[in-house]
Amino acid sequence: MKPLLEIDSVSKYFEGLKALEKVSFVMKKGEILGLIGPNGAGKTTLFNLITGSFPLTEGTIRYKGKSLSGLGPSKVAAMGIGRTFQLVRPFKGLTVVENVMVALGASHYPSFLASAARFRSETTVSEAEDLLSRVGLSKYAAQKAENLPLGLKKRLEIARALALHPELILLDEPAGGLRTEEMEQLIDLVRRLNGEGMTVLVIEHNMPVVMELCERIVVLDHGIKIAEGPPEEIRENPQVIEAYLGREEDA
Amino acid sequence: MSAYFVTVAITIGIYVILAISLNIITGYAGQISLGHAAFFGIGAYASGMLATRVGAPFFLCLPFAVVVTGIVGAILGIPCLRVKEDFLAITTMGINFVVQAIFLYVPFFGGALGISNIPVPSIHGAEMTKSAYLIMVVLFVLLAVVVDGWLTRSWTGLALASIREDETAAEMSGVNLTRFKVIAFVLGSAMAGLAGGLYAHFMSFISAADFGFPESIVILSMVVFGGIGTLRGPIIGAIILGIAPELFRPILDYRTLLYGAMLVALMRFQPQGLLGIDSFLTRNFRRLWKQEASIDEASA
Repeated sequence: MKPLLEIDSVSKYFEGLKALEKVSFVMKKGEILGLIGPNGAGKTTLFNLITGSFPLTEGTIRYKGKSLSGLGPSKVAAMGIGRTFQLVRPFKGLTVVENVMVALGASHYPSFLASAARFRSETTVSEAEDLLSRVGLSKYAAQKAENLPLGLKKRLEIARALALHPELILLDEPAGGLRTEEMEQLIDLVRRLNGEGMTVLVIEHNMPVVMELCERIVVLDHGIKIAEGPPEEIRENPQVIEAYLGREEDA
Repeated sequence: MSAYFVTVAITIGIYVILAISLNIITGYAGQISLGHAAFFGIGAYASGMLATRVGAPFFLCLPFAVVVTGIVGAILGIPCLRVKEDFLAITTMGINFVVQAIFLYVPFFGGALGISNIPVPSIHGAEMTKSAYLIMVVLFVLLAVVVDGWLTRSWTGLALASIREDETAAEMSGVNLTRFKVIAFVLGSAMAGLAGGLYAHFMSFISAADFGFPESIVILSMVVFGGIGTLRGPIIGAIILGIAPELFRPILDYRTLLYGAMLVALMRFQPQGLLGIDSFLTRNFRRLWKQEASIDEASA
């Protein structure tokens, strides 16, 4: 079976700074892959390359066998790759349900005629409400997004990503800043989505969360992939331990 | 109706269209523009020149003004795509100065003499009276309201709102920033071009001085004063700030000064404007409304 996402020796240089250096891995449909590494390892950069926020220096990223290079974020999103952000970015002034509707419009936006139609149709509203109920936000539908607490804002971002009808979602530190209880609910949510067939690529700093959630983990350090494998293996990997804890200086 | 009243009403009607059009760019799409008078001017010159140089009838000049201003809006919108916030403010301001300078210094546009003797529109050979012109302006205001209403209910309007709220999140949700910013600029500019055409044929004389930076600030003040990002806001803003100088004639010379001071005060104390979403007045109107409703229920 063809992999869903192929990261093929991808490099990204920012004026001499090597943010990513020949990183390669593949994702199968339906798996949860964790992307970990110390600060500045290039994790979010990789997310931004996948979503087309900026061009890569070398290599190819393929989604369902098609290269994503040069498409730009809106086209990549419309192809079915949704994402959330490390620092949440809801559309603050819009209501919760409108936040989701924005992404439901992805198929309308490329055509003048389709984007001239009324957005608040019965089908759109019910579809948006369905998505909100999937993430447990039904009763907040009419509230302004800025009034939600952080945990619910993160759920809203997931609902918005799901509105793209994605096969792959990228979660950037979904557990960051959450209380234990909120974190557990979020893990449950991601599991449930995965159970429904969603492929998930997740950046996470909270090791217990990563170990519990992911079937496979890719470790980046200073832009280079230093390890890849199941959680048990990664936990024992001396290179990973060194990247996180630092090398012991020889006396 | 006195001629004076009709003249003031026509002017206000033109300002309402201008305020609605700027609100599309700045209120809905969140792209600050300090150069909207440039598009007002382009519409006025396009319509006025087609009428005086070619002798085209008014009802051909007006659509011409709309199309030309829309196209120029798309072209001038392109440099604006790469800049945000303060830089966008400065870019649009620069556009205003450049356009005004072109009108003033390029002989083709009549230079300092401007365009004069722009004919009053006529229907079946009879010149339109001022009252008839007012009715026409009101009809165009209604058209602008209809276009605005369609826009805010459409997917396009939702996409513009998402850009206003967060550009990065918008494009990750499938919104093509370039496409929708250009749409906002074209719509807003074309509508300003319509206002320009109406202005030219009403005044019969236009010159570069009418479309300078201070005029852009006047239009922006109307939008902000009434309540940016709503439809009622720019309408009420244009009406109140359009009447104010008529009521207080002595302040006419200091109009821009007062508008500037008002903008500063509004930004500090009531950035939503008079009737914007969640403004002081809107909240209280809503509260009064609810109280009355509950009193009615209680007495029923």
